[in-house]
Amino acid sequence: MTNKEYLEEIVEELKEDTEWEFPKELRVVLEDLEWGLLGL
Amino acid sequence: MDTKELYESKYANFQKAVNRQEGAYVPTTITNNGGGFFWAGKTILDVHGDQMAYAEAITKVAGDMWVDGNILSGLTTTPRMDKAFPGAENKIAKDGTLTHLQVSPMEADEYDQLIADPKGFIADVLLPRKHGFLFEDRGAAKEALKVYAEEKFYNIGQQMMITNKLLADKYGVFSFVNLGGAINTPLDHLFDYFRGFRGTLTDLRRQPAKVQAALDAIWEYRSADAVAKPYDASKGYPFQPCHIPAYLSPKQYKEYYWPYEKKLIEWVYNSGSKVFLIMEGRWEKIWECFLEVPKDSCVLCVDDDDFLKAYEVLGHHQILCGGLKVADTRLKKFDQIKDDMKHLVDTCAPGGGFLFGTDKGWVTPGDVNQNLVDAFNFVHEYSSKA
Repeated sequence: MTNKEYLEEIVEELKEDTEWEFPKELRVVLEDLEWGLLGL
Repeated sequence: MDTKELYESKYANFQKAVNRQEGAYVPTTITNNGGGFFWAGKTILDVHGDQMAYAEAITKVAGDMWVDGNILSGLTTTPRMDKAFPGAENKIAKDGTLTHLQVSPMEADEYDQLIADPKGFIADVLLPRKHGFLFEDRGAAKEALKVYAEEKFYNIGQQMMITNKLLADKYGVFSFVNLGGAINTPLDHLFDYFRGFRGTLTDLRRQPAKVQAALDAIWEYRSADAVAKPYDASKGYPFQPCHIPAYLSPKQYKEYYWPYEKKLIEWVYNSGSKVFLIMEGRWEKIWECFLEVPKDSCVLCVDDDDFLKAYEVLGHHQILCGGLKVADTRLKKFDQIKDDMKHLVDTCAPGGGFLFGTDKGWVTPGDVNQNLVDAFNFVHEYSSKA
């Protein structure tokens, strides 16, 4: 598994995480994650 | 006049200025990167997590001086984000000041990987260098990404909206810049996120063809899809903080920066808006480029250049913003600043096309000081009478 695939897999898990209180409809902020993390 | 009427009046006056009509006075604008907190006797560390307390503190200065337009009021990171991502380049210093330490994770011999697949290269190679812990511990990665999502949404994006609403509701201040839709050229992306200051400037000399190919790849990755659709002018002027141009020769700027800049300006202009472009550093040697693009397609924020000289060369063709150097408010007596402001208003106010503001954003303690507050009030009063 590449690092890119690893990150994508985590994002998918977080989008479906039912224990996380952060509203599901807001989890779109995890899209374009590579660029967001590069710019932090 | 109630606040709603005040807002409408300020908005109408602002629109006149950016459409080259002489309004009732010169609009004043602010770039508050957290310096406003210190004026209120607070820091982000005191108010983080309480959105209203944050908004009240950072905007307090708008109650002490005349402000028409808000460029930005907020920080680009949060204490919680800072803690969760130790490798981040945007940090909060111990005294609450926003700081930036450039991180340049790409090596000089990695251009082929960047050119072939920018997204994959970032995820596979650069992120493990910048945020290594994400790839070492899956559980820690998930917790950090939760912080990333929550902070990005609540304490950066939503916070700015709440702050902007408070500015409008309490002070009648109009926020006119689209920060969420910020744009930039590939060379600034390469400089900011990949190769840094030394790397980019060295690569431009040693491997220019690779740099050019990388710029095209970054353009395709970050901008090509966006510019294929019309820009949504209802969101305000897209923000463009330009970092590398001051360090380029005019030849380098025209070859590697301007072609993409021109495309961005024309894209925004064709949708009826303007690029809000921060000319960081000195740009005199490349001012002429902005005479090539349509009239009033940009609001150009003058930083280290001589504002009056910039006005003489560019003021008839692009809207200019600035005129007050933050350093002067610390170093000069108010009488001297007042004379400078009189000359500025007398020169630039006639016919509109001029927004008053500071050369740099307010970041550190003391950036917002009594001289700065008095200068804003003076420009409002003096230009109202002029």
